Amino acid sequence: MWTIIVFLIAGIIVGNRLNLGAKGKHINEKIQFVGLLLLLFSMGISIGANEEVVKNLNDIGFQALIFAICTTLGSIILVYIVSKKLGKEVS
Amino acid sequence: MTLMIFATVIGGIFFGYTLLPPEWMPMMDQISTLLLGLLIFSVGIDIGGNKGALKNIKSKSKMLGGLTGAVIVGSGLGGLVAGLFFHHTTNTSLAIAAGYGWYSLSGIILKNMASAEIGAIAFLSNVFREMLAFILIPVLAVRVNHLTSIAPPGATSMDTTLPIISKSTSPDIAVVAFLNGLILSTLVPILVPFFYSL
Repeated sequence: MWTIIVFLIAGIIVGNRLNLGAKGKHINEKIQFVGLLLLLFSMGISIGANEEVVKNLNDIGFQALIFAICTTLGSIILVYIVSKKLGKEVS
Repeated sequence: MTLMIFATVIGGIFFGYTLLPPEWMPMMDQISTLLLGLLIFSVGIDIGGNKGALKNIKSKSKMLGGLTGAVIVGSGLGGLVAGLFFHHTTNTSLAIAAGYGWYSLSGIILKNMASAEIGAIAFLSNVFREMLAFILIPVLAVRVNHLTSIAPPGATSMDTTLPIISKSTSPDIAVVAFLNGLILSTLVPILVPFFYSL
C-alpha cells in the first residue's frame, strides 16, 4: 500500500513541475496503455498459475462468482443513486 | 477497450495455467509489482499535470463520502442476497462481501476466523470482483457516468484498477477513485473481522 502511495505522490510532483505539453501528455497516455495491458496480462498469469484459484474453482467457483456479481451489482446500484443525487458534477 | 482488457486477462490466465513454469511465479509477481508502480507513477503525472485535479476539495469530499458509503452498503446488501442462495449466515455473507476486491487479505482473515471453505469463497469471489471491475469500468464510464464506474473495483481502485479508471474517466475522478480505494483498503482488515463476529 505504501509503495503505491509513494509512486502516486512522486508522479503528481513530477507531473506538476514538468508541465508536459500536449505531446508529452500523449506519450504518457501511450505508455499507460501499453503498461496497462502488460499489467493485466501478468495479473492474468498470476491468477491462472495460482493453485489456490484452480484447486477451488470446481467446488466453490459458482458460489464465488455469485458473490462477486451480487456485491458488484449492489455497489453499482447504490453508487448510481448517489451519483444522481449529486447531480451533474460527477460525470 | 473492454474487449481488449477481457482478451488480455483471459490470455494471461490461459498462459499462466498451461505454459508458465511454476518456478517463474515469484518473478511474475515482481514484474506485476514493478509494472503497477510505473503505471501509478504515470497516473500521478496525469493528475499532477491537471490543474483542477487537486482542487475543488469540497465537492470531491462530498463525492467521496457518497461513493465509499454506497460501495460499503451496496456490497453488504449484495453479499446478503448471494448468501441467501447458499444458506450462509448473515455475518458470514457480510464478511465475504467486505473484502471489496482485496482477495489476498479477506481470504486469509476468513480462513483463520471461519473455515478453509469460507476463506476460499472470500478469496475467489474477490478475485472475480476485481476481474469484473476490469471489464465494467470502461463500460460504465461511457454508458452510465464516471462516478458509477468506480463502484465495481472497491478497494482495488487505489492500485490495480486505478490505471483503467484514469484512462476511462478524468484526472478529477481518478483522485476520488484513489482516495476511495485507500479508505476501503484501510477498512477491509477492520470490517471483515467485525462483520464475521456479529
